[in-house]
Amino acid sequence: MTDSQVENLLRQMPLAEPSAALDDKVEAFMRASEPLCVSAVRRLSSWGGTSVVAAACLVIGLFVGHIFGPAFATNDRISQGNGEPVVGANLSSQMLDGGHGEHTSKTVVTVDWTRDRVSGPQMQGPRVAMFCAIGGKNFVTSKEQQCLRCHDGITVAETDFRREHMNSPGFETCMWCHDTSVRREVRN
Amino acid sequence: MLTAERDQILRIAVHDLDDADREVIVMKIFAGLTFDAVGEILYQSAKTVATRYRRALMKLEERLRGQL
Repeated sequence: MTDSQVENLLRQMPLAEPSAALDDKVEAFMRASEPLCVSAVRRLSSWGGTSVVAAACLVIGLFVGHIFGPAFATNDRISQGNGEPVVGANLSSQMLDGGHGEHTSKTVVTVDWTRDRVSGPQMQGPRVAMFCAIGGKNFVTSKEQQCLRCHDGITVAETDFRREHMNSPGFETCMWCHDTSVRREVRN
Repeated sequence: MLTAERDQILRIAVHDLDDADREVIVMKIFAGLTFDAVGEILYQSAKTVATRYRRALMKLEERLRGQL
């Protein structure tokens, strides 16, 4: 028997008997945890969006300041007695400040889960059991398939993993720890 | 040999591998990860992972010899 034959046999090997109860548990947890986890990809896209909006605000602010500066400056002079037409700059900086304030008000906590911590004593079981949701940088797309694939019951999952991890009190943290290489933002 | 019987033999063979061998087999075959991805997870080079994977396959092959 060659290596490729062994590989083919393994690929054909069906997953062990599915556990409806376990699947329900995983699905329920995923539904519940969805808003808690912000993946690196989502974080990047949200930062990207924020940057674009901030830049747009800056340009608009400068433009508005340039066009209506004299009029606002007159108002400034009336209200503050200040002759410097800096309203455009003030407008844009206010917008930027406003966006920043809104972002920080969400109380974003960044959590680092290192491999050592994942492999630590609080996570019993074989290391391989901790990769069901990893997908590394593709966490968003791989989360469900990857996790449910294992939780559906390959041999490892069926025995050690299911018993030691899925039924352990630490189950709630699995979606953090399974992703060992990505910094995760968690909204409280 | 019945398919179910063959699958059971395979499962036992995979289960009997030590953790280090089993993890590369599981990640490569069942999780469908590339050697690069497995290497990223295990902090090893893709080449090292590939070597580990082949060794694990060989062990499996030895265990399955005469049974399938």
